[in-house]
Amino acid sequence: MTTEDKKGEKSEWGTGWKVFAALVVLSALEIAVTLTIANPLPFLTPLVLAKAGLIIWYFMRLGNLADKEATE
Amino acid sequence: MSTTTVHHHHQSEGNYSKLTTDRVGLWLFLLSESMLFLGLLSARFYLAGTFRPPELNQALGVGITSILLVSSLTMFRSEVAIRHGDQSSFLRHLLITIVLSILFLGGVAYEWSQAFTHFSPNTVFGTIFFSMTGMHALHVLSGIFLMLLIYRNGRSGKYSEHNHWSVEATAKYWHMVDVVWVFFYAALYLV
Repeated sequence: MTTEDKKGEKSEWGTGWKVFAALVVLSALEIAVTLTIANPLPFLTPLVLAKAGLIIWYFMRLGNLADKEATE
Repeated sequence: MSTTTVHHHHQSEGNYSKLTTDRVGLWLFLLSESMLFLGLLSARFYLAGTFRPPELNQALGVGITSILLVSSLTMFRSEVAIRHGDQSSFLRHLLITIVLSILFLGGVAYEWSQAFTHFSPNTVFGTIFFSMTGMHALHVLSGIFLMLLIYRNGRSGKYSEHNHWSVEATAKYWHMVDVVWVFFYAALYLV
């Protein structure tokens, strides 16, 4: 494993942590909305979509569909 | 077909690598899977509206959701590690993901044992609750099987930074299971 590999891994790992932190914040907001609003569905929907979007874009890397970095 | 036409045909095929084709195929599979879950989600609102029984174990719901979110992070970490050729981190984080996914299943099993006493599967909400969580748990189970498979292969050194499509595909599948739960958790426990 080269130094460049280590740097790249560390940088991507940092992005993973940031996305996870955003997911935690959004989850906390979901619970707060449920506890404070009588009909929370309209407020929950954008929060849920934001969480799903973060996972799909950053963890599932939808944007890298055409990358040619790995083969098997 | 003339020689020129054949040549052009082969050239256009060559524009897409096998990996790109594999990825598009996987995304199409995940999209088709999401239709199944979307059907269950719409059934929840069509049959029971936003009704939510007070007996639902909210603390357990938060607990298993947290476990699944953390498992997505560790799975991401595992995939990042193998993409950079870090074998030990890849295996370590994959193993943590497997343990977390088993914990999640254990939580769902406990929730089921409690739910059976509070609302029968014969009731409208019971039917929805057990169908949604059951179908999701089945996908968690198949995810665990895939992760065990790549863990075994990883231990024998099958994957590297240049050769890890199976790991990438399994990670994407696992994240899809997490995305489904993001919707199901809100629909069952929060609305």
